[in-house]
Amino acid sequence: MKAIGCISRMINKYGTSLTMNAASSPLHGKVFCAFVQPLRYKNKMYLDGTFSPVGYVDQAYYLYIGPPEIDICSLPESASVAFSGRSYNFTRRERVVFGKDKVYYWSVLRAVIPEGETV
Amino acid sequence: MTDFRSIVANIRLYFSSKTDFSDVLFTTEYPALKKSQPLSRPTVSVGIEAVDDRKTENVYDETVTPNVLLYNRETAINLRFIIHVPQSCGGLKCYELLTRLDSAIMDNTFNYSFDRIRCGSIEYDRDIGAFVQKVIIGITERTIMTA
Repeated sequence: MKAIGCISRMINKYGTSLTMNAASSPLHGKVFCAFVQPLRYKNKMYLDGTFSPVGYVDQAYYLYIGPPEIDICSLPESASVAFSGRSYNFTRRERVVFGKDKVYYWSVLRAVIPEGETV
Repeated sequence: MTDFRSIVANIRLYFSSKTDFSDVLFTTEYPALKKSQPLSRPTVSVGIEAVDDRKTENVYDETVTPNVLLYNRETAINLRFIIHVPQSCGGLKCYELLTRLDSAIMDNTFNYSFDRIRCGSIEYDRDIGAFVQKVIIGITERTIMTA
């Protein structure tokens, strides 16, 4: 129990401030803290992205570790979080449980890019 | 001289301006733009797969006197349309777009002489996050070589 509270406090104290964008969800507009860090790359992944016939593909992924009270698994597919002037959507999301208690949520984030943005 | 750049640009413009395709984004291949992430709507890239440019015998219109030279050069161009469909639309949407492309090129307002159309199977592209299908449309231009 102590460990669970400790993780939550660490996320709130040292995490990045994010704004939830999830229309139709009660979490819409909520500002909260979470850890966000770039994912490290392995073979066949390109740090500088790649070009496809329909445009430049940004291949940057970010690891999200968020507080247990922000249930990202219940959010609609189109949900995103915003920070540093950009939005990111959740590609994969999971809840981490310790016994019966939710400890944190993790996800992989990918930048939301609108149509027509220049390279 | 055949201006391949203009052919691709004109064909993109032709499809972009058709109201039947208002839900589809047409782009020339490898634009200097970022792909929307996630793919916002069905997107079709237009480019050239192959060109076969050759001299032919002089072909005249013999219904008029004196005969008028119609063409002495034939350029066969295989245009490559790559259909990209967001995951949420499902793969069948590729066939729907293929059907619409096919009927549009049969339209009388299509300025190029259409010869053939063929397509490959639907595949999933993980980087793009879309179902992808390649469609080849063959056109032939007959022109007069002046030099």
